Amino acid sequence: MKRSMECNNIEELLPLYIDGELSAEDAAAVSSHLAGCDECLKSLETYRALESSLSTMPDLLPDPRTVAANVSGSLGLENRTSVAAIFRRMSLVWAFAVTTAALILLVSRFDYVSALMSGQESLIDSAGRSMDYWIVAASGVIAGIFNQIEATMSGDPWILAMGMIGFGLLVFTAGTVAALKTLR
Amino acid sequence: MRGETDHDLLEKAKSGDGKAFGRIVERHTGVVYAAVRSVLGSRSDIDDAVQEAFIRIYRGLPSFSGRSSLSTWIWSIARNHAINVRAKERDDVIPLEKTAEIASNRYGPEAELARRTAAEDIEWLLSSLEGNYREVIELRYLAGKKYREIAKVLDLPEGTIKTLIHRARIRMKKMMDERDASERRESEAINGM
Repeated sequence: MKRSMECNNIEELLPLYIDGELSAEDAAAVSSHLAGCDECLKSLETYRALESSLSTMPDLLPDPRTVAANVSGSLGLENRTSVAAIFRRMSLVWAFAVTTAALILLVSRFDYVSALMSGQESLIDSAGRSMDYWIVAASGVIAGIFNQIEATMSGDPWILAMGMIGFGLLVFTAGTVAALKTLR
Repeated sequence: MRGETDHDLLEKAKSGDGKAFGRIVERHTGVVYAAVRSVLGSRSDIDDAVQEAFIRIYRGLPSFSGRSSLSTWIWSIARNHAINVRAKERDDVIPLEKTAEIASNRYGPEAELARRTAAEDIEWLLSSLEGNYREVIELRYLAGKKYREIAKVLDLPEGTIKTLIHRARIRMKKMMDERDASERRESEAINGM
């Protein structure tokens, strides 16, 4: 009877013994009991067999990527990117573009200011025209290049298309303005 | 993208980013399967129930307020969906041939046989568990969650999770003992004839 009660207590501890979650003292007590008790040793083997069966459960799960692809397919989400995400990307591009344009403006201003200071009308007119050309054309092209780099890096066909349209419009506007200024 | 929190993915998915929702699905596949299997058990059309659960989760995104963790919310939607499926089936029984056909098409006949044998063995073990016991075992072994993560999903103390898993294993072991005893009796009866 005493032995049976001890076996019951040991049996309760066996799952924790397998997991290595017993204190060193308790684990030693279980080991010592197992060395002299075939019944409990058999129980330990059953627990190990149970653990072995349960450990195969992940095999019942399909690949999460396949599940995600199937769910996305059902909802038509495969390539959908949020408008907010596009704007976040675009704002980075435009931050670069505006900074570059501001730098160009600053540089061209020096040229224009020095022409103004010289007081020569032909020089002022030429510097003014040159400034307009550089501001519009260079900032447009640089913005377009940054836009295109970002769009290509994103790998998103929608952003790429938007980038190409934006680039085309910028080059067209810059070219038109420069041509008008030159012909004036 | 690695390093993204559930919150990051949730915000992106809410604003219509389909790829972000795809990553939520990948991250929570185990939890949803565990929830659905806890209610419906192991069956060949489980994948369909899981897919429907994810569609419900997607449609429910705008209403998720963030009062619970994302995994807890996903768990409750998947579990409720499985309960609805079970309730509906009481009136609308799927013929066995139909489920066998679905399974065979998905895995191939031989792979399906091996898969079914292993699945049946596990299902037999899990059949001795009900309610929380089955849930914690599905989350621990199928979804591979740690005690802390299971506690978060089920919104229960970690100590309770440890106790539930411990008791569940004792119950399953008892099932195995009974099967062994039954087989031994049968064997003795045959030998005694």
